Amino acid sequence: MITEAKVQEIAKLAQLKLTPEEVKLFSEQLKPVIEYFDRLSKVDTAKYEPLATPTDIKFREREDVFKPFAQAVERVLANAPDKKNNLFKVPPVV
Amino acid sequence: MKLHTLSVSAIAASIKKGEITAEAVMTAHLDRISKYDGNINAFITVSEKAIEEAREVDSARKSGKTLGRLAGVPVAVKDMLCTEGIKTTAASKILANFIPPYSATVVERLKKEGAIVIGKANCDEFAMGSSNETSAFGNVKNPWNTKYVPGGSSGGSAAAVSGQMAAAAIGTDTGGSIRQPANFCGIVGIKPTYGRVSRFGIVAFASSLDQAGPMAKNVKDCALVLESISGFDEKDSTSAQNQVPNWSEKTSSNVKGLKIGLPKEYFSGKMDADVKARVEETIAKLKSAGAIIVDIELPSTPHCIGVYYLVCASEASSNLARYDGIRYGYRYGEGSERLSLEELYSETRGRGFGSEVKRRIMIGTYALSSGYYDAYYLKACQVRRMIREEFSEAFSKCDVILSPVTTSPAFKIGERIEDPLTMYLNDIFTTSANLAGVPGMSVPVGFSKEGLPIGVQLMGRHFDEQTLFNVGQCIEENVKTSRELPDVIQ
Repeated sequence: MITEAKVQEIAKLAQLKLTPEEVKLFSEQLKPVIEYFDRLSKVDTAKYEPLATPTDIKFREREDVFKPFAQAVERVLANAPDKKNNLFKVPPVV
Repeated sequence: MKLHTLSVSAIAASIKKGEITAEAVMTAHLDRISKYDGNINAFITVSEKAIEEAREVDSARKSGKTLGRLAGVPVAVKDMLCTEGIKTTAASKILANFIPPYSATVVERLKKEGAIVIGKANCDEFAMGSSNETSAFGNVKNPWNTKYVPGGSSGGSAAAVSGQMAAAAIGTDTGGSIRQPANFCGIVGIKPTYGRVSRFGIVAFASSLDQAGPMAKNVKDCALVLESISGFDEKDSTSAQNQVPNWSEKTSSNVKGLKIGLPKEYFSGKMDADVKARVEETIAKLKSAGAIIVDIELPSTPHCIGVYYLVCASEASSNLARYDGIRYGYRYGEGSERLSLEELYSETRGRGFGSEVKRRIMIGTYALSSGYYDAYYLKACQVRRMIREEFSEAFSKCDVILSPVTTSPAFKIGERIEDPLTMYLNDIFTTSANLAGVPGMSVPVGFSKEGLPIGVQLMGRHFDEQTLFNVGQCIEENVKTSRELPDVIQ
């Protein structure tokens, strides 16, 4: 059952800050969507293993080695919203 | 000669022969963009390097170098694909200023064949939408009638081709996002088999469903672009090793003896009268061309939307966890030192994502959360296997499945945006191909009374895109769509 309290609980798990208006709107909009999903509970799936990848592809592993990436630091930091020296700047965590 | 009306194959062939220059072709398409895109809004970014790159193709030709299959072809690339040095936004505020340090494999392969990225096409935010109304950069209008949506999520890609602002486009399709806008805009679009086209460098939405593919004016152009971008890529862990056929050369409109399956579940519900009529006319034409029409069943069809939205939202909630305002993209607050790290994350995400993206992250987080995982996510994955097995069963009785793409032609802008469930139900015929991993194509077959395009959907066996191209070619030759793409957009 989707209530405003449930919406707030999920938003916290998803690290999404919602406005009070959004909490109200989402609880109204998600209720029929989740009820629609509930129809699946009636499907008999006892014989079926869950399917995650639709084609029969063999997953490949690779060596965990790096490849050359020119001007790596500059290029990776170019999109940083905040940086200092050659590092990403974040709020204090301790 | 109106260069913007040329097909991909005509452009590449004429440039190779020296009959036209890549610069003239590019200029013609850029002129269309200047003239019409203020209104249509198909592009988020127009490439500043496009003209220069066209000149490079011309000088390569002059110096006798071998030109690629797509030499000088202006291609619109959905803004979900990373393009080195060109802004890639996923139509979201959270990536509004993101300039990727590398290109998607699809983009690399297009360039290797001489294609030129003319610009980055608008789409629904993170490809989540069916009408191109969720873009943070404004909605896209349908070039056939600007009161209507172009479809989504690859709405900008479809509008760019049907508005003749690009000769072809790349879209992505997670639940119909290539086929539905192609259908609404009167062009051809194909979602290849899962694993056929590399996902490397494509903004991830739902990794087990996402596939990129071409959208173009005709079937042959789609075949030509798809064979250029397909094939194994070690950078994508689910990339298939299957050989890529020369579809553009092998395509034949001979459908004699080919079994075309009509799933009864796709024809039993409410359907627009014009859509029904055009689909029936197409079936009759294929029959007179020698195809055998067989009735098939896909009994789990009513569950597809539920399964699809659970799977895609769950995968999206996980994939989109990376947008946290730390390493790239939008970050909330100038004085972010006052916020804790958790507050910075949630403020950034709450303000950076639009409503539809937040709704899907919420649905996915709910479906994966403790106490609900078995009932929703796991259950959806079990029904997904059931759906795939029904497709295998169906393909033991027929070679290709034909159906409408949507129950109605394009709808009006604003008509469905307030009601998410109605919008989701729009994808009723398209999500199953992604869930089962099979290829699906949309081919134009005519118009509604209001003059809006209508197409049909063809679905094939895993890695059998060839049959889709063959049937598509037969439809193109036998079903007269009677109208050219809009030359003047009002």
